[in-house]
Amino acid sequence: MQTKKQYLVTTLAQDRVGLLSRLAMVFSRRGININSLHLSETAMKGIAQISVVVKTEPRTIKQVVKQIEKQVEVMQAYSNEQPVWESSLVVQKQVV
Amino acid sequence: MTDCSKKLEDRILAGDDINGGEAVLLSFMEEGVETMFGYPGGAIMPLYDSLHQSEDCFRHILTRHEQGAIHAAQGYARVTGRTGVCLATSGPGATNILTGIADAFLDSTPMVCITGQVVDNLVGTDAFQETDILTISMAVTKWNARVSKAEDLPAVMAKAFYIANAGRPGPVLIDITKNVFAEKLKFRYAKCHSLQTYMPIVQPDIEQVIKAADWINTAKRPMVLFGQGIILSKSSEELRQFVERTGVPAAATLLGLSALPDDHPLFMGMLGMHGNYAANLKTGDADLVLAIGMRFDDRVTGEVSTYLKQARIIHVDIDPTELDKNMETELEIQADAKEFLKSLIPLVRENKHEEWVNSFQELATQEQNAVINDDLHPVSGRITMGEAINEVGKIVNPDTIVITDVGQHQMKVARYFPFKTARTLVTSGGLGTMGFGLPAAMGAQLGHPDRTVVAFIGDGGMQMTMQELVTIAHEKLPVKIFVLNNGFLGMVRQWQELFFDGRYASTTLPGPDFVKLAEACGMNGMRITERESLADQMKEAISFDGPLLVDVVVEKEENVFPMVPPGAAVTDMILSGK
Repeated sequence: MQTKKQYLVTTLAQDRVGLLSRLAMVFSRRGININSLHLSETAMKGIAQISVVVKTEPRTIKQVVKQIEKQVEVMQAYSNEQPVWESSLVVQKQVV
Repeated sequence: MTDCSKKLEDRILAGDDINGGEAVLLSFMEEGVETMFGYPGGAIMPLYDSLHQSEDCFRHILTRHEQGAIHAAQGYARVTGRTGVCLATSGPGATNILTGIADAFLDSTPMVCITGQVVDNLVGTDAFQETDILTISMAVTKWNARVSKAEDLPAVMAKAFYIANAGRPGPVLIDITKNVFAEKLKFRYAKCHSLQTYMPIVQPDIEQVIKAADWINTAKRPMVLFGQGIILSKSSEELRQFVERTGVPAAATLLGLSALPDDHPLFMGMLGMHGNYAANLKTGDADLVLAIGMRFDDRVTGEVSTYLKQARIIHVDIDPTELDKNMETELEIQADAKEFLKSLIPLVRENKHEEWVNSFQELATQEQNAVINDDLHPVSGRITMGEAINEVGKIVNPDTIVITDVGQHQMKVARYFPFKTARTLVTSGGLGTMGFGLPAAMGAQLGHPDRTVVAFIGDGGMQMTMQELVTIAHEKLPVKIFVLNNGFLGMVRQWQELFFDGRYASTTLPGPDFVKLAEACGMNGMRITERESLADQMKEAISFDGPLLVDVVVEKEENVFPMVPPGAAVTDMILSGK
């Protein structure tokens, strides 16, 4: 078992109904939770960029990226390891 | 365009608009579709109406269940290499073809499935017979799409046929809302030859081929493991040339069987759970493995962490997701198997590897003595499955097409049928779909009307899709159906015997009188119970003119050996259950 790391998976794909389902399916099939997701248009007409942050093992992310690239609508997919940002909220009560 | 489409062509030339249903049929004509399988229903009725008016253009086979239609289309596609076409209506029609679609997805079969859908303005409202088949089928299709405007039809159809066949073949589903079939459009069809977002790599990287050749040339104990990729890429001849030049012994996956003739001196048999003893054990001695058009399925590798540990592995596949998926390999080459072998052959040196090749023989002899002799030449008890299969194998032509269902008989066919010609085995490999055999045999016979088609089916699988006997009889398809009848779900029973202390939970299977069933469905039936008459009755069956069901009453509790026990390494394969 490898240690899980956080990855940003970027996909460029032809934007059409069902695209997001197909991409989400690749992650959910392997039991990977999507931590964040962003979809936006690109300068290329009809091509969308989808950025997904997930936590998984290095060997799995390689396979997931290949399986995303295999989807007919996808032009390119790649992943980058991301530092894990921990955020916390501090609540202070100040007496003035 | 074909002659039969002249009426439609004349209308197009006269500037007349045609309707969506006609456009689907014209698209089929453009793609060379002649045979299709299906079942009508509410949402797809207008397409059937168009089909009725062009009935001299196509042979449409009305099966008795949509599952029969999809498996028949698979059988047709598997033996011809052409796209299998299946039509079904919305809702239950669409969900009934899912098993076949999943089967085609795992076994890389090119298919275009058309489903009718409720009219566009009712989609999403839980209308009568509405299912969201696009979402449901997403995980088991190479591509799917909905057409809700007739003008989109030609481009989507062209794309569907291209995607089904390009790279690693697979099933495509096109869901067409009912309104589309009636809408008018100007029909212009342009075949699709490439897509901006989908460009499978066919040619291998020559540097990688040089490296592979170098490894092969210097290996002491090389082995080729090949799969269906050889058959799909039509490279049986190149594979034969390669092994004969290099003297490298070869073994096949289940779906790779028939790519090399069974009696080729360098063909060592089948890999995997019920494969051949030498083929499996020798993978543990090989120093180099060239794996072509196969995917290291768990039934092939056994416990994968123990597989090929001592060998350098070259893995060639057209689908990049298969590379480094189940096995980490040293050299991954994304290419079409034929193109790879054509590049490789001039770079490899002639060799014999005599000692290494001969070392397979000792293990083959052990298997012969411990398993094969008893399977094929038993002296007591009822007829064995192996005996029946062997008897058929002895008398049929070398180009006979063999269909199996799933289970013990399937493994026995894989082990004992003498395949001589490529693309002569049709079996459900990846999904292991019981009920596949009978309809697939129907499709195979329609794909090759002049060749003998024999189907070996267990009594369990037979009872899953036996309504298709009616279709086979009605269409007068001369399929020879051998029900290897042991009254059990044999493979599950074998596992219960070996791994569940003999507790036969729900595996005893009383069946119908198959001979009477055949007759009730409109075909002849015959029963074989005695070893003494087996050879003569098999000859009679094979030479029978027309569809025939043969109920072969076989040994009830026969097992398939050798076997790699679940969780074991293939090198720990056992020759018996004792």
